[in-house]
Amino acid sequence: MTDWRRLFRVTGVNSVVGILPLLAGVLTALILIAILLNTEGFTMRDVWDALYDGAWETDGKKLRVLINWMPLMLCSTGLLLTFTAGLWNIGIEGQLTMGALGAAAVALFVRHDSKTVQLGAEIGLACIAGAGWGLLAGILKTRGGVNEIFGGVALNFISALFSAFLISGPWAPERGGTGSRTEAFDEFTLLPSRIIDRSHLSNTAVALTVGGFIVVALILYFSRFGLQLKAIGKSENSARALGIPTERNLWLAMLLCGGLAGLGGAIKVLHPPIGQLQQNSSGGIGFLALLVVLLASIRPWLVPIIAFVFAFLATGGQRVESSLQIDAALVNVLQGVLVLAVLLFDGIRQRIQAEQEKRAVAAQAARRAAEEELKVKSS
Amino acid sequence: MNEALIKTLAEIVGTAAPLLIAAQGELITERAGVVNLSLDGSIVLAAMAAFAVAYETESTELGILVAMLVGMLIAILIISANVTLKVNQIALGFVLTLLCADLSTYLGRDYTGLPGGNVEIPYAPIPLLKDIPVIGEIFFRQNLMVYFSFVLVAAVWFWIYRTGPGLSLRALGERPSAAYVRGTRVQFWRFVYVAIGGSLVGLAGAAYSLDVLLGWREGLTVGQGWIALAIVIFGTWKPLRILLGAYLIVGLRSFALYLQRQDTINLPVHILNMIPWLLMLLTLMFVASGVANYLVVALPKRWQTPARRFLRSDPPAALGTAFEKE
Amino acid sequence: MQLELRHISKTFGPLKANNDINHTFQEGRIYAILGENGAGKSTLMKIISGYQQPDTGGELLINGTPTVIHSPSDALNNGIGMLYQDPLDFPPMTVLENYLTSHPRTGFLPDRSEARREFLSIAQRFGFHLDPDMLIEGLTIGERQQLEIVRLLSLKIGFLILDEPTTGISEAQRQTLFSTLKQLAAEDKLTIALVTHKLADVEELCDEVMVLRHGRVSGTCTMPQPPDTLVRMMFGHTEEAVREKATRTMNWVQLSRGLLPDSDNLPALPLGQPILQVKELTLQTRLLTIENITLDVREGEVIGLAGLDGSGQGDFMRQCAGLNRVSWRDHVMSGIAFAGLIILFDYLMGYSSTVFTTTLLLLLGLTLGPVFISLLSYLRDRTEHVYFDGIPTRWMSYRDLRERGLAYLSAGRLEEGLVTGMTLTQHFALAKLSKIPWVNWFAALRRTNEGIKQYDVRGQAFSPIQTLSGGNQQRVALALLADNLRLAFLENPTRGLDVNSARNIWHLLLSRREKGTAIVFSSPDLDEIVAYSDRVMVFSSGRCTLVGDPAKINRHDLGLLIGGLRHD
Repeated sequence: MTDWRRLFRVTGVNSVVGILPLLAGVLTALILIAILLNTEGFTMRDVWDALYDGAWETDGKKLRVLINWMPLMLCSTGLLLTFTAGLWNIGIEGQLTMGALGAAAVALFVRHDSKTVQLGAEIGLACIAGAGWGLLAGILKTRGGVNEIFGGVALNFISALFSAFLISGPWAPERGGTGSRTEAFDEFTLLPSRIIDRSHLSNTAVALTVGGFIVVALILYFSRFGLQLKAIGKSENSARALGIPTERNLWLAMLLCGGLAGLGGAIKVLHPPIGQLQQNSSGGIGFLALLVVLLASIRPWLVPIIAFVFAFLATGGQRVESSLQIDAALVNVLQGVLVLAVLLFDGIRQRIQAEQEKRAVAAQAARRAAEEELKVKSS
Repeated sequence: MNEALIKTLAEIVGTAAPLLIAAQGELITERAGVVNLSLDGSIVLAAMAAFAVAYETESTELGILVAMLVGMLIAILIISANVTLKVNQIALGFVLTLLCADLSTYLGRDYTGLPGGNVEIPYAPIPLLKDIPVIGEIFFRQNLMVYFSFVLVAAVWFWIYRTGPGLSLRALGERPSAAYVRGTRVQFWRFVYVAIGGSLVGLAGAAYSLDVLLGWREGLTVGQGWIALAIVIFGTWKPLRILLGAYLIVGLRSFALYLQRQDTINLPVHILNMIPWLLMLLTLMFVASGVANYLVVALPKRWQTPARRFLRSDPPAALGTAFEKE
Repeated sequence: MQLELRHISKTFGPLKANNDINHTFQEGRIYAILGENGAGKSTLMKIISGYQQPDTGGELLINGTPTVIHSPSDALNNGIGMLYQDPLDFPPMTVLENYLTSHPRTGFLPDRSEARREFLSIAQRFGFHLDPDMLIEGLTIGERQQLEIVRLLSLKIGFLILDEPTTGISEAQRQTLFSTLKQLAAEDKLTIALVTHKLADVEELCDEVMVLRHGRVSGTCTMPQPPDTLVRMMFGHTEEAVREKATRTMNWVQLSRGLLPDSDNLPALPLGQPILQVKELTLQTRLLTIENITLDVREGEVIGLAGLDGSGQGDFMRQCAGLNRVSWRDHVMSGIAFAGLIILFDYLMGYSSTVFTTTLLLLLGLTLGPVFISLLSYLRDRTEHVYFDGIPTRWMSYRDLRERGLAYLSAGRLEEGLVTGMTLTQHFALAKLSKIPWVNWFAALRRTNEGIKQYDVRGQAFSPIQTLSGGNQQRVALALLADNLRLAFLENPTRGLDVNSARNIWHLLLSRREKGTAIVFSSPDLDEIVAYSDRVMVFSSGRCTLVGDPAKINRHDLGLLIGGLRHD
């Protein structure tokens, strides 16, 4: 009964066939980048060495990849929910920023004796702020007829401006403020971490990230809510007619996504060594997460892997820039080309599949016609 | 009239030009039923290309031309992948947004911070018209790009509402299947309009790097594309309202700076910059929440229909969908 | 214009949709093209109108000249025009603009006043009252058809195909249409082909009949003919199995004309408790206001809603089913979300400017728009208009009502009802309203298989829903309804189904009825309403009339009511 798997598929695509475009896309992107590098006089080998050198050589460097992975992973996890529900939550950048602001607000101005309570409050407010920002986009969509892309963009701008306002105004350091960052948070307010090979690692953060992903994966694969989200994503009107509370589910999806992004923002600012709120704290992680989920074609199990590769590239990219004098943007170009190629190849796959389905339907109709003909003749 | 104010207004008209051109380009694209979400990336990449080419060849015209070509190519990529492979226009546009921005950073690294004085689009006050008090000072002491933005708005309006091909353009975005039956070559015309729209977006990029923000640095115009997209929605897909929207959003931004310079009110500039966004959300929300409708009913009978038509904010019905003959 | 089809075939893979069709349409005659669903009518139409090319070997001859038609506009250039069932026009544009699109003299700068004069003169000739400055959105289907006819005539066509033109238009508009067509055939020597499955239309209008079956021409004849000849041509000849099928169809046709007594087919059921009470409801649709709707539906009763498309039947059902309403639970929830967000922003904004906070508050306030409006309308009119099962429904959404045994099935099965891309089992799992946060797939699968068996669905538990045929999809939709169903609102339940599938669906529906389920349904097909309703509500230009007397439930009387010629 392999058919059982059909029930749990998030995208409704056979996983073996579905992964082919990804492989083809990787290949295309690599070839393109190799050509690009060749014109500069480098080989792929040079870049790989630099990447390895920058992001994998020692345990400390591996940990740095992990630290970059966590916020990206949390955002991607959240986006799995909204993409399943058919929403383009482009506002994830803003949700991440609001999360960072929430965490920073507590870290800067509230002090509790217990570290657990302190951290709980920071992370809690981060989640609430992110979730609120997500919910706002959701409400604007269902109640205000404001397309979630437009609403998200507007909320991104608003949150970025708000963060800039806070950093340059009320939250600016008392002395030596440059307008680009707040004071460093007190050590006490940061996530507890161990130092391995001169890099920090917070177990709490890792646990939260992995836990969040597992919960969302369980929701998507097994829960009623997940099934309802799938139905809404495929056809909102039909879902409503089947008695699914669509508005509530959409809000919930946006809320959860925002909350996870907020958590990502909190980890971003609270994880040592950063430990302060910086201008532009989202740093494009939200957009990158959108790419991750697009690349995974909303297949949950692929998300951690792709997010990890992206985090690896981001970490190693700096070394590429410093040792080879190639702009780190090249790494981003690689990612962009990769996603573009995968989208195109996936289009080709769907085209072939649609062709096959059409033929199958025609065959079925022919069989039915033949049967009837036979019945008429025999009687 | 206060000289500083006139100067500010002239500045608004000048700096709004690229935004206006990009928004009109997107308007044409969306009226044909296609979403080009890549605006933010297209503008940056076109701006970079325009500056690089103009700097190397010392020819402003060539720079502009290349920028238009870049914008057009990106738009063509979106429409052809959508037509042939049915790839989602939004996904494609979004990926291209990021990719083009990164490409511009990568390819433009050698041109960062170079002086652009000799490739600037020249200042060209129009004789006679420039001497009209106030109006002349605001509108007719600008450069060619700004005049083009005025002409463009008028041309787009005229094309959409007054000409035969414009009628087909509206038909394309509204119901391509019906347009097809009436003999419009849907895919071909969509292609043409999307390409035109894309080249206008590219032109907007050139207007930034060769005029408004003269020069090139990483992420020169980041955010402008999103603003242009927002203006199209806020302008409810109508050329004149888009004009208003563009001047409003740039105006509020410049006004913030003006206020700061005047030192009369002390509002943080970031908060002032938020106002256009909040205003847009508020307006859209007000129209859609049903409250507006409720108020319309309270109006005298003969005001109701025009009020409803004024409040209409529906996008073209076939926006973002791929056309199939069957 | 004379059009000749020679050896027209069209194969899709193994399916022969059209198989060697030969036929000549003579100038000035009105033809009917009859056939079951899947008989090849639509393929033939698509070939004539240029959507598809016939297989090699097939030819179209226009006035004796072989012609290849590449596209619909090519067909128009050759004088072949098509009127689609859902008129292909542009709703947000005006009548005149619609007329101008594709007009040969539109050119770069259209001459609007000349076009207006021309348009009005053609419209006047056939007695069409069309205002050139109206938006299409505000027109009825019948008026949109008239506009299309005017537009096609201005293109000097010689051959006009009409696809099910009488669906959704009023009796008066039908009469206008038919007299127009007769006039066109007689005076303008237009060749007209009517694609339909309504025998009444054929009898009234057509000179010649061409019947398709399994992609072949199964017969041609000249009208008038007795209906059973046509039915037999549609469904097959003398074989036993087919005769049975044909008889059943005949029964429906005759029953709908009042030739068969009702009692034979519809056993009178003792009616139970009132299940739906509508008291003096005022209904605001997009185009009109219908006042004073009153209706009591009892258990086991079938109420047919008759009227033109867009006269308010659909809105009435959606209103009663609560589809446009927000549940009180959601009102409460949005209130809580509103308060929560305010508290949050208050905390975050504690230091910041009032501009931001005020706007956000306003923004959030607007999200409560529906609540304010509900409250305001409650304050204005506090009487309760719709009771379901004795409970007032003002603050209940469709979901709340569904939990209490109400269901609504829209006419668009895959647009609003079933989810394309999901399997039958997933549908059964979704349709079960349960509070448990996970899905019991074993139980869902069991229910699916039961449903498939009980409703005779041709499809497997794991087939995606869109791979099923229309009739099977409708059966699944019915199987998805809860067991304790008390009241079902069905919008055109047999849309797009052939006579046999339609009968099958009604069989299933009526078996529900025996368990006490009440049915309220709308249909553009008057025959269907006459055949199955205990009582009929007629919606006509802002009025609503209840017909309870079985003697008055017939095509003629209802037609008069729909046409607005009588109001009693």
